[in-house]
Amino acid sequence: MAVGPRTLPLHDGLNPMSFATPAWFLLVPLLVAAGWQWPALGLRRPLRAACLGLLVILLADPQLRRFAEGLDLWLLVDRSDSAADSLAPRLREWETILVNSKGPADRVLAVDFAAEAVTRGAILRGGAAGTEYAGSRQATRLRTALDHAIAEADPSRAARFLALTDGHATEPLLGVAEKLVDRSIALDVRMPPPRSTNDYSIGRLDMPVRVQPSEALLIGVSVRGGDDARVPLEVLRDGTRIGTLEVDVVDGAGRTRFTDRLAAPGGHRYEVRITPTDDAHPTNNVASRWVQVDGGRRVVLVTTYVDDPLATAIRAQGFAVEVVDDPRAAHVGTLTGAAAVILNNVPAAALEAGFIAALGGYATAQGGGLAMVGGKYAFASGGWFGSPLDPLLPVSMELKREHRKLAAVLAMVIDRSGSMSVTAPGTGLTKIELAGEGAARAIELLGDADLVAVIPVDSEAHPLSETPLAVAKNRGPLARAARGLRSQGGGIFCYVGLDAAWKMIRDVDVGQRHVILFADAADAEEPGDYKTLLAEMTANKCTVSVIGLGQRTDPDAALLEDIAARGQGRIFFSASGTDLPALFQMETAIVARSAFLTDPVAVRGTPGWLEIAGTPLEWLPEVDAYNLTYLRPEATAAAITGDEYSAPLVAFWQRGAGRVAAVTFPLGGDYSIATRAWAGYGDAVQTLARWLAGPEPPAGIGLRSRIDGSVVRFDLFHDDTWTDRLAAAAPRLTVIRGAGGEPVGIPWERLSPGQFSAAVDAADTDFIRAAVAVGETTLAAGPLNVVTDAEWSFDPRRVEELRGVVNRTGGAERVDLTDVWSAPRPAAFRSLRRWLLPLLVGLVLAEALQTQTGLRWPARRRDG
Amino acid sequence: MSLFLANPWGLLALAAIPALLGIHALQQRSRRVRTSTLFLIEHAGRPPEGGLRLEWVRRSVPLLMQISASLALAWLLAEPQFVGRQSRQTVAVVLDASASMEAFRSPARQALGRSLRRLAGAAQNTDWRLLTTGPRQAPLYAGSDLDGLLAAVERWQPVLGTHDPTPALATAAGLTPGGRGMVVLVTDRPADVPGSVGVLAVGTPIDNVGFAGGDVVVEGDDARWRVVVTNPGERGQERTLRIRPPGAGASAGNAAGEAIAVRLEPGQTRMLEGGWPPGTDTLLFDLAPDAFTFDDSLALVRPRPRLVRVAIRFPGPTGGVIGRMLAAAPGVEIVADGGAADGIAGAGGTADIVVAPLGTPVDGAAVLIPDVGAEGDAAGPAPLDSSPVAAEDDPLVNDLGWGGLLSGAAVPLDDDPTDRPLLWKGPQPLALVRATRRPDGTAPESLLLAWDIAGSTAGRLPALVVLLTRFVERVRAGIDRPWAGNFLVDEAIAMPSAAGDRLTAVPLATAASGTVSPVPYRGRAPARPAVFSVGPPGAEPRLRGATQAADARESDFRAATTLDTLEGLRHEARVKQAIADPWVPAWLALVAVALAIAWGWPAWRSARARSPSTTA
Repeated sequence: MAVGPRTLPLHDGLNPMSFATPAWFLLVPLLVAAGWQWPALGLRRPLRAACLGLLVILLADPQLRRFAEGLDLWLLVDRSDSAADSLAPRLREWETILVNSKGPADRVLAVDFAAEAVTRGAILRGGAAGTEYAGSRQATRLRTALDHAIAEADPSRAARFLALTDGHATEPLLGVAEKLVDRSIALDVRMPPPRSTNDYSIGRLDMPVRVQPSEALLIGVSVRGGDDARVPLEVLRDGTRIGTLEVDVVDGAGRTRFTDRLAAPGGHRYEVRITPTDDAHPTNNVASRWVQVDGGRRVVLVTTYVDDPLATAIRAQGFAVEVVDDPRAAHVGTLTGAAAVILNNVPAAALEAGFIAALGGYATAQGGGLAMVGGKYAFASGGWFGSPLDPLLPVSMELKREHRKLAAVLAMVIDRSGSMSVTAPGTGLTKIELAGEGAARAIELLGDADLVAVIPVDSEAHPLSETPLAVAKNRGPLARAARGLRSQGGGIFCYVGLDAAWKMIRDVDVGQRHVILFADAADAEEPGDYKTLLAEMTANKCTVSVIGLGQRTDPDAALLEDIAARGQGRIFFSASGTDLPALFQMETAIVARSAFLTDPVAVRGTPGWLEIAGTPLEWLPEVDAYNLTYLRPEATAAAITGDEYSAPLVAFWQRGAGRVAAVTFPLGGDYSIATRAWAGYGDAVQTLARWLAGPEPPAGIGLRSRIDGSVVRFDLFHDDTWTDRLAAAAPRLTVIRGAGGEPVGIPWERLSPGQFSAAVDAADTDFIRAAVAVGETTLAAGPLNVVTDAEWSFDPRRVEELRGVVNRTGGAERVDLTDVWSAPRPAAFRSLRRWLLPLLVGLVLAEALQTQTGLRWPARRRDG
Repeated sequence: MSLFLANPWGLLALAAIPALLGIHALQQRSRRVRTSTLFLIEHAGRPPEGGLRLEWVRRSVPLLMQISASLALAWLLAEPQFVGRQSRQTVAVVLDASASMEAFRSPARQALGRSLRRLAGAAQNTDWRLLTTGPRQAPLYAGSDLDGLLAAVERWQPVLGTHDPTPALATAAGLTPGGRGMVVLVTDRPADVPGSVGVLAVGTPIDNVGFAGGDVVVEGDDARWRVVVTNPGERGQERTLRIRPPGAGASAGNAAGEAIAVRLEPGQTRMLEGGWPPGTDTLLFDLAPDAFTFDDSLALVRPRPRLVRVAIRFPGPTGGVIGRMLAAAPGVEIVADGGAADGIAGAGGTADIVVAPLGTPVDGAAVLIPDVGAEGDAAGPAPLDSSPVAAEDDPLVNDLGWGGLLSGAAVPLDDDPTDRPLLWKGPQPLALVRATRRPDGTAPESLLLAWDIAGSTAGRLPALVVLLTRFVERVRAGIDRPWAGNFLVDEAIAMPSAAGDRLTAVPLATAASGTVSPVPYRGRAPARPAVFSVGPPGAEPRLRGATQAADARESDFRAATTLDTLEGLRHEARVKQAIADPWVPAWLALVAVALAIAWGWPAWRSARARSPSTTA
């Protein structure tokens, strides 16, 4: 199928102006004749001639070209798994009909979409055919496709969109109608009839939302399918397989139940998978559900230390402490039921992105306590600058005065292969644009004395400059060039990129040499002899970090992890690409800013400590090291350094419903010998932990949640003692969608004295978390999820929403596809009458003035 | 066809008219020309004097023609659009059913009348729909008569607490076919709605003091009333609270009833209480009325709960344990007469729940437990079964912890298709609910606890107490004895209903005189603060009650505001329905003719003046 050029000059061979009714120009000779025949009319006078001339032009209706001839019909082709069966057999026929029925100036272009959106013809993956959609098919992101097409559509041509889809998008179409109306683009839709096949899928996964520790929970699984069969079923808990079963499917349905017991408090995720031998759609064979184990309030300590002394000190306070010594194991369920979370010298790269993203809502909305404790891998040194946690902390990691040991040269190897041309969900930007933005922010973060090289790579390296450039004079142009990076297709050759980077920076005489490799974790090719290369680089004091686009489970993720390990650097994964700018910032801050000072410094206590403690604290005389930060306005410092920075050593503040603290000196491991010998160590840690944990939940009020189809229902029960308090201030329910969603308020209904209730539709998200603010207390719930897989939930409301957008934009649900070409098109021309009429009014007035006053140019008095 | 101007700024071209008048007021002064022929002066007009001077504008054909041309040009510049005769739209109006709208009924009616008449101009024909946001409130109007819709607004009952209008807006959006129409939400505060929904907010911040709730605490023969009064506003307020039995007038001048002065600071909520006067079952509380009267009256009835009578027909201490657990639930009375007609437990007796051994035939609700009896006593307690106890997802056992239940194996139970398992121990049900269908069609439930209670840790397990309490409440909901209680407006009432039941409600806000007509009972309390009764006509009521305002949030008017976002939608709708003026060339031709006349008139007039007929 022909794919036209991406842009078309507006007036390429076409008249920019036109007259709708040019026959009126036949009046011109008549007017000339009249002027000659009746000289008394004075038609030779310039103003009168101009008036008549303009009148004739207005009668001819002059028009300015708005669009080139012809219509661009954008096909949005649904390539998701859920639509494959019903849509795929018809696509070729439909596209052929459209191509054969178009007009000579019309064009047919296509955007293939599922979890990603890409213009057909862009090579998505190196090695793929180039015209085949090669992205994930496990979602139907129609809004992303529409945003992509709107961005791609040539504004100089009239356009119309035709969605070939089953209508069951997995994301809402918010705001799309307005964008289409603004661009005068109508959206049509063609939905195929459903087709039945032998498909086994998980229909329901029933289990309680909440259990007590070690209590048996009953899990029921319903399987629906085609032919009668015995279907194997696998059960995983928190990613670990715990058992297998078999389900007998008879007459299209089968059910099994089993029990399990959970001892560890927090949120736990069960996943069940069926593995039938003959299955039309394997991707709908998975279901998951979160369950909350109520184990009382506890403190979660994420640490890199063995036998972390903080755990001992906090337990002595009476708290239960859950020690997470493998930071990668922390997930959003770890926050469930936690009164406080302490990150003790944990680098950002060691934690899952979802866990970091969830910390914000945990603290600000759900009322949790959050603390970061210093060390070599904490704060800016740990890559937390620019992270989602950065704005929560009471200290700023942005160095206002330069403190760096050595200048640095940074080489950024940027994958510009075909996979970077897809649009990142929810952003309207392609992944290469996001990576370019990240590189630009990294450049803006570097110091004047630093040097930088930007090396876009596909099968070859295409550095923006021959040698690394000094940031001082080139910051602006380099950043602009980085933001202008575009995808060129193919795959990324890792060795070529690393080699090019090393060659550029090898001979640069600076204290730090660092390479950031940004690559697609599903398509990083040609590693070459990277091991030897990396050995040479690290031997010459050059480190390599990796930012991988994708997930740890992607085919080439292991290669990227190995590169980072051998390069003595860090690795971050970005699943969607939306956080690429922040990851570039975080990584650059680690390299360029040395903010962990290892010289002993005196400690000065402040009265701020009394905000969280009843009695003053005898502070230790000095600490062996600290992370240099600056106190944020409105935060309180309880202790500061005695050096020239007067930097905060202990700081805290209230953030939303929760509490956040920063201890910028190590409390364990290296550089903490003197600290651990301090007599007030336990008192300080316990006081801080008690403050972070907040008050005990009050009596007489409780929150209950339950799943009802695709809806999560929350019920708040209270006794009489709360009646007047709730009358003064009603409880507020806030819901957070996904790990890093923004908290959104949900209205309660008061069903009866002592009961409030609310329902939240959770069909379009992986999970939700909730928080109920009642007076000074916050009750938390979640994570809770409702769907087995959004791609297979077939929510009828999405179809209705799509029809609403079609109506609003002036489109239609097409049965006969050829009707698309005869549908009303946006006007290709715009009339100029609105601008010429005032001119005529002016000419009439001028003529009247001239006639009445006899004024002439040059001025001549009229003979009497 | 109706008309609107797509470019109203085009009418600025009418400024050309005074400009033309000013131009024509300028007259050239003529110059003196010496002539010897006096007769020429006779035919001269007003002798020009030379230069320019201002004079009153004389009637002048060129001026009239130029003014005509300017009028035509202004008309063209204004881009008139005509709404087609066949154009049609649907306007769905959604009225906020929250109680706070009661304070703005009149502004809402007025604003609706104004706005909807403007919206009607967007198409020649308009289909009107009138809905409310209440999930159980029927649509109020569907038709093509705007006056009919405005009359239907009178039937709008804003009585609900805070609720989500999204479902109603979705319904309304579905009523506007093909995008030819609009949805209008009438409310009193800013609302987060889709871009295609217009918001007509008619609220204003008002001072309000009202009741936020009330209840009656009964302790033996004594009772105390408690009411909560709130002032969510920005200023301190004083009110007088009058307490009176029904029948006494509520006017400020009536001294009947107790009066209490109440002073509330901004944002303050106070609980007031007092002893329940003897001899009355109902008390009415009135605050001095203000702009929002919905929460200015409150009624309380002295509660008369439906006692659940429990008979223990179980030998041994186990029955006593269960009985004590059941008695821990509120409103439970242990009775002796469990009934045993024809050997069936519960038959012919006064008990609502009978505790009896497993296998006992029962008539009515029961708690059945195994009778280990003498054999068990002699053999000692059964060995504990280490299988875990797993709970079903059932309202009777949700969120209860059974991990502390250590017991022997479950007692085997015979299968019954009505069984609803609650707890499992291994493959055996440990507790279940069984419904026994009666000849009259009812199916009372029995709770079967299939383990040796005495030989387990059940006696120390809070979960079992809660399970039994929940079972008692289920039984209570089915008891058909007279009772009395206090409810929220529109609250669902758990009681058996009969076909002939009628609801008789006396709203608190209405005048005392006049009769109140009973209406069929639909399982819910009245939708307004009222004193009410439910029962068959002419018989003793089965339920007496009082309703109070559901939601104190509706008393808070600080966020109330006035807002109108309809104009943009109206313009969008008009543009869709209208066509441009088809007579544009004619208007331009008119301009050309007018200008030609203006230009040629002086010469033609001079020629006429010089013609022989005009010379002497």
